[in-house]
Amino acid sequence: MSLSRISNLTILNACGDEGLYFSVGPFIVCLHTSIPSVIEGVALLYGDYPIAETSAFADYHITLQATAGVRRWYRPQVNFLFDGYKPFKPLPLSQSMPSFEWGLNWCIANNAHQYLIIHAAVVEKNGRAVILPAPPGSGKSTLCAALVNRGWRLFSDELALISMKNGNLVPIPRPVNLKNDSIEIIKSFAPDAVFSQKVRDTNKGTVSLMKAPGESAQRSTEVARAAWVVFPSYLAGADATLTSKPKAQACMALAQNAFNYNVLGAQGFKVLSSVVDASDCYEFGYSQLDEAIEVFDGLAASV
Amino acid sequence: MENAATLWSLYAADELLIRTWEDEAVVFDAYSGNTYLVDQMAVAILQYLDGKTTPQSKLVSECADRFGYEVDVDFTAYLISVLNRLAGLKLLHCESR
Repeated sequence: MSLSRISNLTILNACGDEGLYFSVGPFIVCLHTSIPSVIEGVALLYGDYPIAETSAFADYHITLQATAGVRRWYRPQVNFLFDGYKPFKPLPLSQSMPSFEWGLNWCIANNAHQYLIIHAAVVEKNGRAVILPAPPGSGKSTLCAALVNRGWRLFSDELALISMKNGNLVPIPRPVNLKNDSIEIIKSFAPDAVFSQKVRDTNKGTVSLMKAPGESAQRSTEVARAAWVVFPSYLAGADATLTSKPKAQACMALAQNAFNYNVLGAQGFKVLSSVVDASDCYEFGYSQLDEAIEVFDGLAASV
Repeated sequence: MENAATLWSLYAADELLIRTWEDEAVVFDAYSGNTYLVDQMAVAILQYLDGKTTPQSKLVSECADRFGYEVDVDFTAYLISVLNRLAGLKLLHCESR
């Protein structure tokens, strides 16, 4: 049964009692919270994800808790707890839902070493995936959001999970984290997409989460092989241009964008180099989303 | 590091993984955990030194032979610069006899 089949009240009760257990890609999350914006956010953005048994093993026990003390009256804040431990300083209460997203990213990146984890978006078409590694500000999430609203399947807008066992890319199709101007750009590009409320004045500016397309969430157990590694960069006024990138340089750039490459040692190198081996690697500059989609559709149709 | 009596060897034998694509390669050093982007000459040196200590003069002539260069002042200076770079990355070790 998916989360969309139960009411916000049921979610609230579950989050307060034994915790709300739900599957996100290969992981089970157990969430404890009574913060209304998180309950609403989870109901809105995670409706298509399966509820897990409360007796199930949970990979990540997460609690979002409003801070206590006098401060809660004049500057309310939220604490993120992972297994009862607070890895971060509290954030303003208004940032509770983004804090859940950022915190869950942190939990996965620091613990899921059965995967080589690269800071990258991943989308898939016809069983072949594109890895889009890029630093913040490169337009990675905007491009990813556009692609998944034009027939590409969302694996992730933030974490490429590459199985250490077999090199498969494993989907974790969570909400796409859009920032600042990208929010309105994607709202007009995909008017049917579902967005959370905007949260202003975060470290990343104004953020809003775009719900993953239902099909992506429902097919979250279907893995794929990497076929392309594309390093995107938004260049104002530029035509969409795909330029071949030497594989050795792509391999280095992927290693630099990996969260846990150093933890995985020689095995991580072998998995990383096998992904590069199997992929065509490119630099991609763009300014117009429609042109970008055309280029990516061309790639998908090329083999 | 510039005389013929200099001996070169791998810093940590059996610890290097090398993946070559076209004219570049990526080297993973399991000893340090570091990864490096290197050119074909560096790869040739690392592969040649696998399991053996080699005098610099022999290394220069082997590499020149492999890539079809003349052993002249320019090539020797270039090769020494590559050797020194690899030594700086702690991929190679040198000793003077």
